[in-house]
Amino acid sequence: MNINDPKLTAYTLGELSEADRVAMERTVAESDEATKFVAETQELAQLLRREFRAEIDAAARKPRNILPLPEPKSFWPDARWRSIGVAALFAVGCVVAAVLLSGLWPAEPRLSSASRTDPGLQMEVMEDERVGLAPNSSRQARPFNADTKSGENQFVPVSTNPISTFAINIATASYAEVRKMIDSGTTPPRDSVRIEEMINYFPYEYPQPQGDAPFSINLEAATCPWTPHHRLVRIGLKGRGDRQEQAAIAKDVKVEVEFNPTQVASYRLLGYETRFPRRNDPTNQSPADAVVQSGHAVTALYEVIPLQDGDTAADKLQTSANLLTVKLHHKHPITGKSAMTEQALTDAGTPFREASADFRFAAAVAHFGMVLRNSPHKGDGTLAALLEWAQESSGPDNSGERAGFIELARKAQKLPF
Amino acid sequence: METRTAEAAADLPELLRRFELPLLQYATRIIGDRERARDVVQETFIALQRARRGQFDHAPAKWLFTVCRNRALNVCRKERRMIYLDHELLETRATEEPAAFAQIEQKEAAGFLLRIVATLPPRQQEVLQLKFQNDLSYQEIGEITNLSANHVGVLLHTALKTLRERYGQTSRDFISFIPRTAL
Repeated sequence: MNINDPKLTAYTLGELSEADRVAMERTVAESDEATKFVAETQELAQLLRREFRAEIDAAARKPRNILPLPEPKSFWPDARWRSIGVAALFAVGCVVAAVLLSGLWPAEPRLSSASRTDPGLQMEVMEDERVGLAPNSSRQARPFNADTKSGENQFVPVSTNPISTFAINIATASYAEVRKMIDSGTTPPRDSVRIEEMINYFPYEYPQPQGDAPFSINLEAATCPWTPHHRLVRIGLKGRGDRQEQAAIAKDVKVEVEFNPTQVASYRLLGYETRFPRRNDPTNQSPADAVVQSGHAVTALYEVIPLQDGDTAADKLQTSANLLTVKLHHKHPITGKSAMTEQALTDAGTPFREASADFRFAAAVAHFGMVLRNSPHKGDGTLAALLEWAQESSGPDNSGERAGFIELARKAQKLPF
Repeated sequence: METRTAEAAADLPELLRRFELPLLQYATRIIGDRERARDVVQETFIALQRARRGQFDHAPAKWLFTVCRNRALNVCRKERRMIYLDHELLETRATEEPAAFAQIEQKEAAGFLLRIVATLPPRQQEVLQLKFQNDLSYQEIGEITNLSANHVGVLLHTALKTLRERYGQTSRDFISFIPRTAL
């Protein structure tokens, strides 16, 4: 009896047909190894059931926002009105679809007719599906510290908010969406251009962490190419191991970027606008149970305005020449033991052209997003300029993706802006 | 038409009571985001409300989990979430050495096994949850996840094997967390 046979597990879990079960029962009885296997598997199954049940019970104690669903009969009191109502709703749906598809409708949360009777009910995603909208127009969270006009993060003064944060597990869909639109000759709407997603679409060379740490923190600063009296900072976090494994390496991962008030006047996080509904509060973050998988990497860019001589600073002590410190809080995926990995960045005043190729390429991608969004912060940069930065930093480009980006930026030059 | 909707509505509170939390836990595991999962579960029940009774008559669990799963995967696809991937690396799993874990400070009985579950590939986590949290059969799990019952069986067998190994290992003290890939 081979205990590596999945049929043995099936037998233990009562999944075999009666005939097979009877046959297996006899076979198991004849083998000590199989008998032991079955007993252990049953024990494990019991333990799993118990813990999974406990998980439900724990969830039951948490507050949850699934509200009672609206009563269908409160909509339309009369069958006659109901059929008229359905027809009217369908007509409205068609009009809404037409308006949305023509791009005139502003991208903001939409409330369906149902939610007008029950205002607490979030139904904007239902509306999306009914009118078959493009994938990027789903729910809009309140933007983080964003200027409502540009929809972008603004410069934050370090004196009031020295700590910033960003999400570790993010999507990367925006780049492909933007590419599709540009390929078809359409100017992408501002809200579909998500800079952090575009930056993170491309892989960067980050070293594996040393020693016990599950992450390496990679920091680099250079001149901001679109506004040369600003600095640009790249923060790259790389998780230990091979991406293919999909093994969890840490949970409850939170990053804190603390800017030095003696060195920095203000900073601006590029992208990540919809990730956090609240201001710079690292304790109030998106999914608290953020699990990071092996080999995961994330890159964030900050545009930094350094403190100039003559700026008023309460005490410019020059105690440390660090521009910022990155602190990565994380917990062991199984034991839950908390740990923190830390790295500080000293700005050596490196000019842009001397920054690493990955840095310059990421900057080009970020700036591409800013130009597409017609960002108020795009400074001197143009598509032509970022094309140059990208061309000079495309490197070996084994996947050809960087070449693809260069081609995309060229195509974008033909779009009306 | 009227009577059918009324019937479905009558069952709704009961189905909500029975399945709201299991679906929430299920969707959260797929999406990795509790808030998004709440939305998905809400949509699932709204779809249930609108569905004709005939559609899910004898197997409301299977219908609910299938609908919930499709919507959750949609969220993952739209947002290119990295947590849930579609392919299963069954072959490579079997030949790898299990990882050693850091010294356990306190091995709590509750939740400990689930923490090990959380380190398994997403697909294995999913079938474990459907089997042991929701008591669904191989066949039902197969229909929900678009796999053959056999494939489900193989996934569960592998998952349990890995769990057994890792759970057993953590009861022996290991000091350092050895990375799975040689640096």
